[in-house]
Amino acid sequence: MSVAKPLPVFKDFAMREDAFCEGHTLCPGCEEAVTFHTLGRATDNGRKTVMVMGTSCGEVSTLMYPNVIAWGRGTEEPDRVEKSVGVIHHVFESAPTVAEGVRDTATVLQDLGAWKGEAPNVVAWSGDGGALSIGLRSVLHTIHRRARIALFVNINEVFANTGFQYSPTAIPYADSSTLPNGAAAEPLDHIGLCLTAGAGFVAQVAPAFAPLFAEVVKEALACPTTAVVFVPSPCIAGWKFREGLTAELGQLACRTGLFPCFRKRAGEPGELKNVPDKAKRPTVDHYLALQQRFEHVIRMKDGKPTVVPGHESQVATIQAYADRNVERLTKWAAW
Amino acid sequence: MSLVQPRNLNGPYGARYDGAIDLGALQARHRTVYPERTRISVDGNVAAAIPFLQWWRSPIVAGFPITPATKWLEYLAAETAGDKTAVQWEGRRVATKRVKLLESEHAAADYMAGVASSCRDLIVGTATSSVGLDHMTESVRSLGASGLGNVVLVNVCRATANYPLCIEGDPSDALAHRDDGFIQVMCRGKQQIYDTLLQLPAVGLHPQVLTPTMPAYYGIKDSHRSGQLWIEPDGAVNAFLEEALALGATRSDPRDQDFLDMGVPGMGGPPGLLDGDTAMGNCVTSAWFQGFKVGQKARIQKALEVLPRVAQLFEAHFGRPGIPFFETHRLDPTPDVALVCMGPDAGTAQQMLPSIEAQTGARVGLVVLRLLSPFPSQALAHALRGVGAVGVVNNAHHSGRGHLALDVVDALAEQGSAPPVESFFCGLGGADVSQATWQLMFKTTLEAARRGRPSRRWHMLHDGLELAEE
Repeated sequence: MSVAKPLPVFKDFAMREDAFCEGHTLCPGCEEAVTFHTLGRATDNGRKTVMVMGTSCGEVSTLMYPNVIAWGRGTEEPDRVEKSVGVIHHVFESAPTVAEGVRDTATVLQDLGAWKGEAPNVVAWSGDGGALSIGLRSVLHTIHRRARIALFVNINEVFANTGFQYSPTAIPYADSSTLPNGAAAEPLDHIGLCLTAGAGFVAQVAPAFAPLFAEVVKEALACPTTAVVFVPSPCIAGWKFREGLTAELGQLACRTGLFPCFRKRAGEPGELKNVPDKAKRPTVDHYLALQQRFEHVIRMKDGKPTVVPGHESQVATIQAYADRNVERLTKWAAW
Repeated sequence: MSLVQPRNLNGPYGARYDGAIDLGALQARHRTVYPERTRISVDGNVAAAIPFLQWWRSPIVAGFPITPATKWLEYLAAETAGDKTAVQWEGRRVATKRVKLLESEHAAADYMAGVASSCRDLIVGTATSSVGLDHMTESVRSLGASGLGNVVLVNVCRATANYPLCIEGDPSDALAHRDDGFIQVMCRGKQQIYDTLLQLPAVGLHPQVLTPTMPAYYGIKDSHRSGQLWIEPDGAVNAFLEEALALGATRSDPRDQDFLDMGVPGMGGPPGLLDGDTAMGNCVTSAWFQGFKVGQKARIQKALEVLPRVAQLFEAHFGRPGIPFFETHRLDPTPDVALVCMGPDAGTAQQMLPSIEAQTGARVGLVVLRLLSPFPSQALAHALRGVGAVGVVNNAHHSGRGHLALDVVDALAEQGSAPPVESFFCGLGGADVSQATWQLMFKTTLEAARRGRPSRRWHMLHDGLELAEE
């Protein structure tokens, strides 16, 4: 696998044509829009792009007929097929498998001389509920078959577009509409699952770390087998935080160890990034207190995180999970 | 390499880049399996699999095994293993056929959505049965509405669900999925299965139909028993398909409803994901949803016009009848009564017609249904006009009078002055329908004709005995 060179601070991206346009209906303050812009630019690489979207807020907010104007390069259909974008929505859990069908079709056509261009970019997009709850089978088996797709999983810890129901990436005690006040259960080890299933590249980066995120997207598109990129995305509507905090929360989720930046290619040492050593690592309380989904446990009082009396053990549980998560991902990086 | 292609702005579908996919190259690489007309002995699953080897438009099939459909997949896996379908191309051996093994039926249906939407000029298929089809349901219902007429889902009929598990042929699955949006055609016998496969993509891909197809046959009785099959040469198979596809290429028919309900005459169909700048599977509000459904309904109904044209062309090419809406036996002149049935047991009834007439002194006819969806109501009512009573043979469990019984009653009622209809359940779970059962059904239907009304809402029979009463 070719090593992707670090991007020179967006200069490369600035020259590219975005495929994510005005007209979407994502919430103001939603980090998915940043992800889509990054994907839109990264796929402007001389290759045809096919995007497969499982049902998710990213899908319902960008593919609303008849105003399907959110995807595509330029103000009208481009003159060249390699600049064009084919987008398909299929059911919640199926984006990886549908994308695999797209990839195999392109491959057989290319092998037999019927597709003369470069192999296309085949991108699958799922929410974390779609990918890791109802769609875990699809994710793991597409990886197992080493399908050459780049799967992006938006992690906002809920089924957001259907009203913020529990998803298995939720950190302990996160309130959701189907699990009020949350539970002590730890989230699924989504990174470990994908690595052990055989993914060629697994990463987790919030778009809040913009240069790193762009680099990872590019690396995923270049992966010769299945690349999985988990994209922690603070959900302003579901988590109920103050406007303007999206990027800060995305970075805090990493720095506290709850969703560290991580990347690893199969067979090579991986790395955690932007997670300070334990002594300098921020504790989870500030991060939690900024979000109303934890207000039954901790909330801001006079500008300071204040544990709701009687809930000290719950905050400690979350902190312990964050610490263990860093240790676990450190081991996965060395795996 | 630059991929500058003529851009064909295509109304609300976006742009199609003509020539981005060079179908001629795909056709040129086809490795012929049957260069000459060949007669072999095969089972039904093999008969349903062979066309996928013969079509140059079908480089990929998808599969997940389930009894009694498994051999369809095993056969294709064996026939494409190793170097069997490979051709020399640009200095290397390249497989022209690929069998994709998925982890479940649901995944197979999802995968077909990816293949079919990538290039709408390809044909992609799979075979499944019973709970396998049920497991696909979420995706199959999406495919049914998708406009992807290049999907062929072979349904090897088997009793649906468990409690109890039964692996023998019973069309519960096909009938439970009548509203999934597929064109469903029931077959009996190896030649019917093979011939039906050859024709259906031309119906599904017609630009005014754009509806996936589901050929079906009974498990075990047809899937596992061998019989003689004439296989047409690859060249003839592909030549017929191209000519049949061209039936819709002129776009000379007035366009009632297109895929997006735009009603624009002459507009081409949607492009694929690889050769188009396009979006499909979008979200809609209820107001737009209704428009999509108007289009979907119009397209599947159009199959009633397109199918006979494809069938006529098939007969001209191969000398065998194309797919009819239904077979008729001794319906002209109008008999006293007729039975309506489907599946392999119809052969028993067909052979018994002279002896039944001799025993009863009445004239009896038989209708064997082929097209299940869209149901050919008007044609069926026309065929049954003047009969004194109709008996409908249901081979699948139903909580009321039976799926077919309700369809037949509806078809007859639509034309007014409907004759009495007796409803029979028999052959459930693939049980044989014995001669005694056929005799009882004809006898009961004749009594209904004399009485002017059915004796009961339904009968459940086996080997000439009533198993249950209403």
